[in-house]
Amino acid sequence: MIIEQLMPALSPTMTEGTLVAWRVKKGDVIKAGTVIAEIQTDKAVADWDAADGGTVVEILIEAGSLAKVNMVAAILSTKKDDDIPAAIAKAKATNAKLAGSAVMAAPVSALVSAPAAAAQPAVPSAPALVSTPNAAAPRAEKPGRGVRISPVAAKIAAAFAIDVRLVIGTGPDGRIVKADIEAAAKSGSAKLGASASAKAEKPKLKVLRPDASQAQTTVALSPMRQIIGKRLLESKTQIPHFYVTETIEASALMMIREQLNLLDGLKVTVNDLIVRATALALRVHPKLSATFHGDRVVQHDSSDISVAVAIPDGLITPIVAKAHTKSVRQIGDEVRSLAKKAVEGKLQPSEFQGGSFTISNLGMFGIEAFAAIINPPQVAILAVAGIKDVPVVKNGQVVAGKTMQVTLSADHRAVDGADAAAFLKTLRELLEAPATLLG
Amino acid sequence: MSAPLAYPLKPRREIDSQTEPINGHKGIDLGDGMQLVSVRMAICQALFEEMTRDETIYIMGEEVAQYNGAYKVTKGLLDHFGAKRVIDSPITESGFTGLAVGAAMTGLRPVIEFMSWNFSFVAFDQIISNASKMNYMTGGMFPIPLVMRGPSGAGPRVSSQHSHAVEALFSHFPGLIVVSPSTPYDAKGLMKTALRQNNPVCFLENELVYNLQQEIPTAEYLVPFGKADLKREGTDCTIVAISRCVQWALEAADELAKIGISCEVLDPRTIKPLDIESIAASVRKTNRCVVVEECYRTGGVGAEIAAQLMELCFDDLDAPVGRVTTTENPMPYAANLEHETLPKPHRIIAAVKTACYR
Amino acid sequence: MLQANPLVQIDPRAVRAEIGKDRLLTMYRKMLLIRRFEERAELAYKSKLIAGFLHLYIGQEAVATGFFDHLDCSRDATLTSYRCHAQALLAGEDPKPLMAELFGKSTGNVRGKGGSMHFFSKKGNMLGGHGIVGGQIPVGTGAAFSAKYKGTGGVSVTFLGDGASPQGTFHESLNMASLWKLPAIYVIENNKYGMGTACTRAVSVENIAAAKASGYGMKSFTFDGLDLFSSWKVAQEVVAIARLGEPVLVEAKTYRYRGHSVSDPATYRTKEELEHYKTLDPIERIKLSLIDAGWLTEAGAEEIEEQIIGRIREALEFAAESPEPPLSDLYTHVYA
Repeated sequence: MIIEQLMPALSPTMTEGTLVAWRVKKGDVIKAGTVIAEIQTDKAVADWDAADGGTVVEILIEAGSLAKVNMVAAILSTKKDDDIPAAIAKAKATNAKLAGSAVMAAPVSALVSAPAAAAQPAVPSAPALVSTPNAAAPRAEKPGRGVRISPVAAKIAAAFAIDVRLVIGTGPDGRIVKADIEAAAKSGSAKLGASASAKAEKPKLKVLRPDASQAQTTVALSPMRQIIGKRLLESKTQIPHFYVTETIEASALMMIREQLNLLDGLKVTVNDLIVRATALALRVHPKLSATFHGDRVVQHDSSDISVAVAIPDGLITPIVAKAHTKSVRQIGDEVRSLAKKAVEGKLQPSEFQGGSFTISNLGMFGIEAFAAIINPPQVAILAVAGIKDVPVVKNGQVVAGKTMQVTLSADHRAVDGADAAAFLKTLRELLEAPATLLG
Repeated sequence: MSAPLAYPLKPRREIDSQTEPINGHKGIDLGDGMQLVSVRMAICQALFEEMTRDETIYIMGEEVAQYNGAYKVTKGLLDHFGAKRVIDSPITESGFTGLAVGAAMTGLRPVIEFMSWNFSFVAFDQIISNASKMNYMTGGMFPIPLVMRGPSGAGPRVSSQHSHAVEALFSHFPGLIVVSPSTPYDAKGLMKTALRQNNPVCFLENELVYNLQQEIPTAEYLVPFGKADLKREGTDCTIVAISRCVQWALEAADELAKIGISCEVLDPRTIKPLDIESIAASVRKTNRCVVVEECYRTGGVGAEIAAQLMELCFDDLDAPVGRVTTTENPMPYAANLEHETLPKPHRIIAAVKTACYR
Repeated sequence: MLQANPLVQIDPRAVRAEIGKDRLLTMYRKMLLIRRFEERAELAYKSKLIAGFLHLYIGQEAVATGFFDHLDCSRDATLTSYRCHAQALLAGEDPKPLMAELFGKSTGNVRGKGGSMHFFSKKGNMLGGHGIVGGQIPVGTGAAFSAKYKGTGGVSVTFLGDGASPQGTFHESLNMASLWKLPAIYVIENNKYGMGTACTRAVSVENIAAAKASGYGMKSFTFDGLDLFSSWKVAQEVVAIARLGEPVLVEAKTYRYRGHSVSDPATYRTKEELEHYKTLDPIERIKLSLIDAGWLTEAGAEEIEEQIIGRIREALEFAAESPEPPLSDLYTHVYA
């Protein structure tokens, strides 16, 4: 029987050790319990007792050398017919394998002298660390971050769509607490007030309007406001704006909108029609579908129209790409989808970066007219006002009519007045004959 | 959560100590299926009923037999059950606790009394290394059905070494059940449950509520572990109070009601297992929480409850969870210092006001 | 009554005759099983198949073996410290689950939750396997209390080391056992060292049992723990005393051939001392006595050796092939 003497781990932390000296030599006959060698562990020099007896037929690790735990240090033989060369070859292979790897558990068969080779048991693997779900996983950023607010107040504020930066906290160090939000909700509108509790009536709570005269109230600019401010300041101060206004007779436009909306499942707005008309007009006047880059102007074949959308605390301009290729209905669906994403803060950068022309429509507020600031590097922006019932002269008679003012702001570095006027003329013609938009 | 205030803490009448028993296992029969008992009598009654039912239960401790208990909780048990089952021990806490572990491993159901839980500290190794771990480290081979009972918390003017509340200390260790009743009803029902299950139980009584009286049913009942009890309903702030602090919390709630703050008082009854779900449900309603306990602040029960509330209802909190605990000093003897050390109503009121931003 | 000077004096031939061939051969086999089990566990440890602590009983086998021979494990309880492999085997536990426990496997004696220090036997009334020095002594006292309470006629035997005798639990237990006349036997296995500290540097008296027992009004016996015949004879006497309801304190003067645990190279004692005690090997002595009596031949001894090695090999293979406990076991048995 062949018995391998494996380099022992003489302390729990030992992975290798120096075989300081052999106390037996090849050819010695030893009994179980004989000290066969001295081993330097990470703690001390210790004796190594053989667990079994036999004749030392080979020593594989030289005195003074470093050996990994479980390397075969020596081989004992107990029977005359043992195949010693085979045992030595096997041991050398084991040692070579161990030399290049981390410590490996020994096969159990090596631990007990067995007449027959025992089945090779699986090498036990290191136990997997217990994995537990991390309760403290980072959460999505919540509204009100940066403002001192209690968790439940933040939750209620989100439900009521209250901008917590406008609420004065009455808690310690100005913390906004539940009662503050309830009061803000109550005073904000009747609808919100309905769900506020009686406690919210306490008069010491108040809601600030964003009013520049309240010099004592400091509201930090949000990152978005800072960007809007910076970009528009640059635009207004560095771009030579000029403005051209046109009045469009909108009776036909309103009529076709009403007719379209009679169709099942269709919801068309004036804005959708304006986007479509603008996209078509830009194809005729490519100078306005352009971006300015210092020493050159790039004209864009595609009418990629940025549509200004108001969102809490700012605005953003999602893009209806290739609007000239899309129907009124497609444009309408796309604008509403983009506006919803914009309000929810879910727009992807590709959905609002770029664009060749911008439309800003305040028509829904019924305003008379306004002029917009160019959205650089674009060279023009169209400001759309409300549709008004006005007396118009038709065929020499004053009749009831509807008009809408649009004002084009253009960059004089890239566009001249005649270009602007020509564009507006085309736009007016399209909008006053809206059937052309349905093609 | 059980129905609130099913058994009011203001009984129809008090025990007349001139003519009626104030300890022992017999309550004062009120004739309508109800009896008047103190906490002391309720515990004794539970022991009496369960020892009658189960002969493997014995009681051992210092002065439990002939002296009838240092606090008279075991009054009359020696006379009824005899010296084999009601045993005066030498002053040898480590010894009789370890003995109880061995007895529990070999088929008995020991009850040991620490004259005060302050003295359990000399038996700490037996409670922690042996009682709490035995079932686990024997792979379920040797459960330890053991009830360790006695008064915890500060006695009146007994200073540093006799004033420890140990709820937090023992609930740190998996394997132990920690029970801390505040009323006669709970004390009896929880003790009976403790004597019918197979884990080591730290049953933490309180000297200063031993005399608290309540009308409880004469019929048998049990109170389960891990079920908090609503001691008062409210809307503005949840006060989680333990043991003697329940009384202080109720006093504070009365005062706070006068200034328009409505407090809910919740008594966990068992610290381990802890009914955090009921506490969280209450906090989701009130959005505020103050925990009141006699343990120290660092690593106290309040610290644990606050942490669990943060995990369970972070978005429902309107204020940080408040903690009213024994202040972080050994208990002083002087009356005024002792008063300020304990989590008394004036400190609870202040904490609730802070939580309510008042 | 046994004569002591200070060790109990016996006539080995007379005791051998009293024990008889079969019983002595059985004890020999048991001692050899303990020895081989631990030797192979030590090798497995050194091959990193076993981790943590591994305290070996090698050299002390005669003490527990002599005592267990007089016990009825259905009613008599035993327990010891962390040096507990022998007691579990003697209480009837199979080597397979014990080795699997050392390997940290689900098939282990306590499902991989205890390891080397925490062997138990429900059927054999072996109450552990305890890791805190002295912590088991009142637990053993409790087992004696139970036996008396239930009137089973059982006794408890609490094994402890010399190093545990200065602990308070030792003295509290002796006081309770004597006060209440519990059927409790306390066996101090004095192997000369409490970890690396010689007993003479830790305990104020040389003969612990003799000195302490009188303080608690108890009988005591001190014997040569390397001699199975002395162990067996003393055990016979003290078990009889305990069954009559009287506690007894016993001290075995013994020796461990290994360090305190596998990781202790035991550099605090001389090689000469170790060699001296190895000449007194309790198993070799019994083997020679069996041969001397004509109850065993060298060939017979070889056969026993092979049978036992076979059992250990099976145990090692069983342990190696057994699965690790499932992670779901983490929280099982925290509460009953």
